[in-house]
Amino acid sequence: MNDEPEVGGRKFTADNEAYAAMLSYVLDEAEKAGMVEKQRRRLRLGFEEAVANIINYAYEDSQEPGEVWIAAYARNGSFFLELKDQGKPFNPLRVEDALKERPQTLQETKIGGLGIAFMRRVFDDMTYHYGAKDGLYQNHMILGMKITSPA
Amino acid sequence: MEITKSAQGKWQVLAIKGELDMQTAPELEAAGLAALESEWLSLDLRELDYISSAGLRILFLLAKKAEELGHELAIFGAADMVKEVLEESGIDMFLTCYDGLEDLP
Repeated sequence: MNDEPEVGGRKFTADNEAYAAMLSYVLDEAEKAGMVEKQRRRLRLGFEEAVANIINYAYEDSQEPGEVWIAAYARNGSFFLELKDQGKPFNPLRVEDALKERPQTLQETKIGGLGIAFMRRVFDDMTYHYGAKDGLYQNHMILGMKITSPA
Repeated sequence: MEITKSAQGKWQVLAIKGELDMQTAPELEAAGLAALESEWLSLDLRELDYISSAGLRILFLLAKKAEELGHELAIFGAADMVKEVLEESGIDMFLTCYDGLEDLP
């Protein structure tokens, strides 16, 4: 049984070659939703950080290239990105915010975790769930940002 | 992304145009490390429209390399989204930032 509203979405191979097509899909949907260019750049940042984790890590233990399902849609004045993959479980919400405490020197600056720190700053709302759906275990992330009206 | 090389006094200047993301970052890494081996490096960001953590990672790496070599790394011309991301990340605290090419010492 599926009681979720239909959001469309597209499947892509989770690799660097498919990134341009993924990005184009997301940005086209954002433009159709009336998102201004400045905000689309922020959306792009948040999306890149989210999908980079899937491309680089979700399937690193598997021999075959995996897939990522992406849905981009507007609802109730916000724009949502949903990402699902069947790679290893990874909850970005449990990663400590890399920008919570500023490093005092360049040498002690940690580069890892910056992407997730940006996701937290781009999106107003982030939810994560890992579980069985349609007989397959998957990571499911929903990222939302309020659409800013043109000035 | 396009990288154009030029020289200004003791500085090698790499002008970066377009988008610095996970796909284009390796190109800047190679060009930046090569330049830093022999000279001071300045990155002209006036025509850079977009940067992600993958691009920041390269700036961190180049800044650390410059520190190790006793060379300088400077940036100038960051605006809009790029400036915001540099400030949010805190890396702007560790980079020498100039307003323009003419301000390089």
